[in-house]
Amino acid sequence: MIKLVSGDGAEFEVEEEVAFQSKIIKDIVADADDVIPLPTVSSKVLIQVIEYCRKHAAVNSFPLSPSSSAAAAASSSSSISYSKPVSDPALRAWDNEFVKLNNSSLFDIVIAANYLDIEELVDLVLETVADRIKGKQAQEIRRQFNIENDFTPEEEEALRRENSWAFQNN
Amino acid sequence: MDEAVVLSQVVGRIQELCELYASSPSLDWPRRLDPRQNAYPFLFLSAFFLLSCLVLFGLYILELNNPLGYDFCGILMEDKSGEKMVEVLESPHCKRPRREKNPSKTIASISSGLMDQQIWKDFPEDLFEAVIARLPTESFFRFRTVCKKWNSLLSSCTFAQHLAEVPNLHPWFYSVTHENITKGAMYNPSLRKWHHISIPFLPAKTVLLPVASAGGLICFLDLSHKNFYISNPLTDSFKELPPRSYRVWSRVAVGMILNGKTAVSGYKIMWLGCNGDHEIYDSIHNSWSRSASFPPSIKLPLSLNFRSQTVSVGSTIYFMHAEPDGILSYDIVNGIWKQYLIPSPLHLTDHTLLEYEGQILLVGLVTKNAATCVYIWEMQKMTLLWKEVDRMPNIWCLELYGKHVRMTCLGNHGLLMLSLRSKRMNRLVMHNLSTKEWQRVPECMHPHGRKRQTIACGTAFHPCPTALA
Repeated sequence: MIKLVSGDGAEFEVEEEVAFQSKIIKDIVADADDVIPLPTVSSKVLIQVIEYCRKHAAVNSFPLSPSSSAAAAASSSSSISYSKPVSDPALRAWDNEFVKLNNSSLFDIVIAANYLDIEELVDLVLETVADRIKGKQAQEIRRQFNIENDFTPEEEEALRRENSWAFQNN
Repeated sequence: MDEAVVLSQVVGRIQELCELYASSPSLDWPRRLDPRQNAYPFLFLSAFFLLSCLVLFGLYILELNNPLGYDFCGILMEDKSGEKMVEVLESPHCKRPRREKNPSKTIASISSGLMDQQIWKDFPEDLFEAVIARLPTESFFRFRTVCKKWNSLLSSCTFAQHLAEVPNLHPWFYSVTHENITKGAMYNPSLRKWHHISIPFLPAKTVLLPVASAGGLICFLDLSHKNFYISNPLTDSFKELPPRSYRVWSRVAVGMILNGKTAVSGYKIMWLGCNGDHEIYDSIHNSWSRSASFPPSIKLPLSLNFRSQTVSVGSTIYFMHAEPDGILSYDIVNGIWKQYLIPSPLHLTDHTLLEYEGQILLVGLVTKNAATCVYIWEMQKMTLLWKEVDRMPNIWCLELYGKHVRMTCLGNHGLLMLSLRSKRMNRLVMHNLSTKEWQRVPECMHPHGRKRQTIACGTAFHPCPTALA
């Protein structure tokens, strides 16, 4: 067991394989003791991160669900395996539920995950944030994130013309 | 639901009471309550007021707990209070299901407050770039107009690294169209959408055909086979390559590879002529050179198949030739030539090489007794045979029956785009080599007209905003 201590002093005991989802913790444990202070991570965020790691540690130790292993067996009959390694659909569904949080919680999690070097979680959150903003117009982005438009109208128009294909709605 | 039942009972009682009053005004007990004789209208009004209050209160409860109760209330109010109230009732009626259908929207709307403005400001720079790198290519180009900082990502090295780390799911397809040589069309298979671009840098009166691509860059050759051009179709990045040292203007086959993972570390372009002449362009030195001599064991002249695209695996480029049928490969880094003499499948026409996960494949039309079908084979390097791995579904082949179909392959990087044409037919078909799915491609319509464009010649490329020619 490894003890993680959040910035606000809360202690969390987790199994090694859960904590080792974080590469940083794995490195620290290799040459230190089992109590790891994480001063920049609040307990609220740490609870969520541990929840994620727990789920992924459990699935990663049994990487193939029955359905995906059957698919792998089926594709191996051909001389080239055309099916790419698809991650477990059940885990993907779980991930999708996990990120149903407001933006500020998501941002807290991604900053913690980046600090703890949990690559999959960083990817998941960044993907989610990108997904939330991708359909917006530049004006909406400026309003939502309080960004000042520092282009002159002419400059903006020139940029729009240069990339007019991206604005086409055919 | 309980509240609804209780409420309906209460309302029912009051209704009964009112009816009782209306039908028998001679009842004793109101008079006993109010000796002034005019108690009946007063009581009726207060009962009605009570009823209205109760109904409104009930609606409030129902809205919180029981969306199904709306209908019931609607009917009730229609009876008692006229049309105006019904309108009021209808508005929550439409609001609720919308909210339920789209739970993610609720999250987004909660989050689009002032809170975001603060968190975005505190967001670490590298994570910000990583988010933008995950946007669809179209969104990235739309967001260039957000502010100068977002626009500057296009020339940021760290952003280019982030882009390289994001897995490229599907290639795009670039195609020239017959109608207008200065316009190109790009197809994004993820959005199933055509984009129309103009080529502003195009020298006057030249027709450039896309012949190869790597790392988001497309290599063009003019119709006279003299001049090579490199361009990123997403941006204005464009370059004309220096002239070749050979003054032979016969047709050449062209291949392209990257030095590293992305175009940042440079690229190489190779051309090969039928008499064995060849040269390699290195973007780092910006010059053409000839590295290895042509091995005498390979019979010249070559009958290169110019209809087939060249494919590259690692640093090796594969060219297809006929008489005898086979494949010639050249490893640009190690300077090694190899020839594989493989007989083509019977009745094969309009074939082209493909590459998928390091394997060499072949796609082509097989026509037997007016029945035509698209087949895909995989090269067996040990037995030097083509082994069939897939074919177009029968129901689609039926459409080709009896028609003199010509096929062009517009490139592949795991996805194939095939243009199937006959006198009365013009189909674009996409085949996914990993899922083995066949799919129709929507027609490419001219942006300012209804005219459908014929897709003649093209290449697949991985869209990369930061790639520089």
